[in-house]
Amino acid sequence: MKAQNDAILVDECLKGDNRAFETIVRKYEKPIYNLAFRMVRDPDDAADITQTVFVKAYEKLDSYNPAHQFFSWVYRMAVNESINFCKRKKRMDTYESGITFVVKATPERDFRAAELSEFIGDAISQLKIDYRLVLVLKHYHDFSYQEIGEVLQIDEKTVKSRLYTARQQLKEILEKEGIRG
Amino acid sequence: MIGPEFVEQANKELDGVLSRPESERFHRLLATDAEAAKYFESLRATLAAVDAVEEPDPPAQLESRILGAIPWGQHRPHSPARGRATFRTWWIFTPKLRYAVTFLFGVLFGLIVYTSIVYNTDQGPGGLDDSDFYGTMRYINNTDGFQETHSVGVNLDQVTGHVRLHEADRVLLAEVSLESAGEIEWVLQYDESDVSFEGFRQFEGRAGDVHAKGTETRIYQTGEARYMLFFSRKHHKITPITIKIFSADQLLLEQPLTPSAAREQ
Repeated sequence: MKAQNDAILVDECLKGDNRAFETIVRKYEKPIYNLAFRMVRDPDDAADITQTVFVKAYEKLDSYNPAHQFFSWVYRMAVNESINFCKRKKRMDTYESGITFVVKATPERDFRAAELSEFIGDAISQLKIDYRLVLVLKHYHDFSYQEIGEVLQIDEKTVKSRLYTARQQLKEILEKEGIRG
Repeated sequence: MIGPEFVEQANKELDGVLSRPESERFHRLLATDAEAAKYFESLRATLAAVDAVEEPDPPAQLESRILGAIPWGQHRPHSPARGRATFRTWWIFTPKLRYAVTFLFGVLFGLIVYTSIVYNTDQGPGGLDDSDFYGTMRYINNTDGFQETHSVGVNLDQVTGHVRLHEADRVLLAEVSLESAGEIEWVLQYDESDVSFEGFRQFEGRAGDVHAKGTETRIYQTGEARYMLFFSRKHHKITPITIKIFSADQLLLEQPLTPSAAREQ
């Protein structure tokens, strides 16, 4: 149903209905921003990437193949933009600290949760970009193995391998820091 | 002992993709293997901590910023549009002319690429990215060999920004960066015996039609936009290029941009 709606919106946009693309922007703005944010860990850079993704998606909309999922197509753009950004900035492994994460927590756990989330953010940023991507898509976008494979254009076996490795490395980093969930 | 097979089973269990019999078998193993149970609990706790980090909201203005940056009008219905769609309509509905102009643009583009190679322009960090290509030329983000020779600030009620002229040995670049509340039209006028318009590159703002002929290049824009226009100079001493800015057919600004060679005269 989701994919069908997207296909209709794309078709209407290609017929000149700008409102259809505005709907697409509203629908995917938050997930694309969050994906970018998880990758680059800077709110302003994530906003720039999000804007670039939508501008390019609009410009290249007539090259979109409706046989494939629209969200995979637009996520792939976001992934590529994020990777390119990381490479351009040469910050793949040297992120600045100071990013604030919002953590679901009960009031009495607020301090612990905030502290924990900072460690987790740091730990995720230490992962190699391939591992970070699958972890982010799985845990913050609820993608299935198959969907992650479509976005990253890798097979499911590779998705699982990277995901398990990412989790293992994350576990080790957190344990090394004395963090337990 | 924690082996790859157990790690896979543990991950699948946490992802909820094990079948019921597989899951029951997995938990029977945990009940009899303390090391496995400890590993599984540690992995579960790690993923629970990861999942507890909530996604941050995008900045409040992001949506309007995105919508403001979209080059609307690229996808249009195939019916005659009102107003200023004449160039696009002509382009779409006149096949012979379309093919002819496509061929000419192809030749022009080839010349530009050839020129960029011949003059050994730098490709910038990370090389060229076709996805960034917009306009009829590639702008090389390197001012080596270019000198800014004239700059004009624009500070009017309806429009603000600047126009700058950069020069190299055989090339002129006119950088036009303007912001307006409503639609404006700006025109660069030049002597075709001095220079010829070779192409343009838009960096920001909504795309507008670019109309170029022998003596002028005319662009419509709304909001903020930045263009780099590329001219080849036919000889060293050239007469000034004039920029005119209009709003609703009213002339707001007329300003000559003087190349260095012309000022030396």
